[in-house]
Amino acid sequence: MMNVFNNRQKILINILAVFVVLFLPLSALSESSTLTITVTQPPTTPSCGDGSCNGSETCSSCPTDCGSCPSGGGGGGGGGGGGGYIAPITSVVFSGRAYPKSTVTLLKDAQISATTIAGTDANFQISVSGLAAGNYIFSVYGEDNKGIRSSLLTFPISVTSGATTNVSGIFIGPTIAVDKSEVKRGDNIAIFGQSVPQADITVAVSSDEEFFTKVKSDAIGAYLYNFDTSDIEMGQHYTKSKAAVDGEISSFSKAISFLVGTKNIAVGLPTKCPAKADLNSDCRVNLIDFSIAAYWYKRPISAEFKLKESERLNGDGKVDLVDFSIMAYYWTG
Amino acid sequence: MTKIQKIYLILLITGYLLLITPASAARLYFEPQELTIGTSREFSVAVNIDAKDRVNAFSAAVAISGPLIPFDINEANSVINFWIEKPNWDKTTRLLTFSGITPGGFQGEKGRLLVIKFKAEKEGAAVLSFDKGKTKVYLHTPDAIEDSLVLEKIQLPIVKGKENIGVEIPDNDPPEWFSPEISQDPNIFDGKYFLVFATQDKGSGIDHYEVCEGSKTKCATAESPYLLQNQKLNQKIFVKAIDKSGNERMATIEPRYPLKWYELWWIWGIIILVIIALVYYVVEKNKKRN
Repeated sequence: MMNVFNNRQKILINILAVFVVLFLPLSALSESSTLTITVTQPPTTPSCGDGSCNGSETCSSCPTDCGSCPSGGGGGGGGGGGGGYIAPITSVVFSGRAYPKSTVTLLKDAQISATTIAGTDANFQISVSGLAAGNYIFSVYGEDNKGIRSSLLTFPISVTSGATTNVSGIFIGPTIAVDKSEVKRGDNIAIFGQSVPQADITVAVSSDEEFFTKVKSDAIGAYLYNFDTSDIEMGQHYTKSKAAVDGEISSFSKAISFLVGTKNIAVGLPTKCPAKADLNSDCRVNLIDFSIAAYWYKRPISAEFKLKESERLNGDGKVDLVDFSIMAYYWTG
Repeated sequence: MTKIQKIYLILLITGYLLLITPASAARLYFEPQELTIGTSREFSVAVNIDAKDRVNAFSAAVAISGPLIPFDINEANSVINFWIEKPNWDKTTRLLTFSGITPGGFQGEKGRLLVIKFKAEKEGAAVLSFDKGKTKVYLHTPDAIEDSLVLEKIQLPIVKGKENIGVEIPDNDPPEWFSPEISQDPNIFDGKYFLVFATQDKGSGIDHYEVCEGSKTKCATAESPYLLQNQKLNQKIFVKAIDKSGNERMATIEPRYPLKWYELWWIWGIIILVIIALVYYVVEKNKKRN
């Protein structure tokens, strides 16, 4: 077949073939996830034996669901109460892993809807009910034992009326912090945080070549890795981590930056306050911050707010979509 | 070249073209209710996004040409949680503009941004497209990186006499529960107290909000952030979210600094009445004695 092609055609075909072989599988790759979403809908028509005393069922017509009728000792029994139909609850239940004894927060359409405390094994379950049918954006995040928040894990979910949607297999990424904002090249920088107990933590450090190392978290999920900066270039670098346990892999943590330079500059204890976008300094990024930014949107900003804009937003002296994107990234609800 | 060889070559070229499409590009496109539109009834077109990478901020300008008039925008079920600029139709430029954010980001296919309801004035052809310069999407990153976009346009033939399918679903549900918050910041409203609120309605979408200070009946149409009239914060505040079907959800904020009992006029009213009654009783008793 190839004999029919001239040399130019052959070269073109070979180049294209290499592209297809090399890159097509990459484009087909998607993030592996163990997330499971199931929808449980109760029977639409109440029936005797469905486990709920509903519809027109009564103790006399359906003792299986409603229980036996009390037997009258002497006098005539009163009339049985009408068995009103109880509408099934529309709810969403989220379950998965966070950090031992950590606070897990659930956001519904970006506003705090519920919080719970994870068990010592880092497992949590949190639910929200009383919803209308429709599309929702749910997010969860965890707060470790130092108050550091994980990145938001977001789930667009279509809620069905009268059904319970179970979202299981959530694995919140580890928290991450470093002990220096600048490290002298050749010295170590401590990268640490919290995840589930006894997990394999992969710590990635970006450079020209990306470095990956594995450490094990301890009984409370804490991990620490001392990274030797001898092999990386001077300049800004990022690090992030993810956890794996029992064949499940978490999402990546937030990426945090450090500078490899000529001196060591220690950072204080990790703070729970978001690095950016917290305009009213309450250590949260929520509707109040959004409203403050919205107030200045497409308006000349005041001298006082200019300082805040340069400190907590992108510092270009105006409030535009870029600043709102930064806010959406650091959102806590 | 034989037929098989040609097919082979076409497949390879197609594969290559697929590859040179920006790998992380978000696709913005229109999803019409039907591909051919009739003049006799209204119809809707959804504006959707397919996001390969997580995106969190959107700004778009939809250019509408042809004999179409947008008469309603439905934001229910949008992936946009907070609107920076509510959808706005400018008759002069024939641009529908909007912007907003999705905290935490959205990644996936068929993310609904909004639904535009149209009426066709006459038969012909309408074209919906995105204004490239005014349409932007940002990736969910700490530094807000602009995503590359694939902007699709759509041509809709408008045919006289064709009946558009009516897809009105009655909305009897009130908007979602919400918790307005009182705040104060030196950077806005000269440091005065203001109110922030936002909720969603999954049926017909939010129509407007009303803020009532002190009484459920003393209300004003409001937008968040709202400068409170009563800066003493000594009265209840009611915030109503009303959807486009007229369903209402009301949230109540208790006074932060409630009035002392002696500041309440009705307490003084009762005290005065009791005193009058006592005086009357005593006077009457004395009269009887005498």
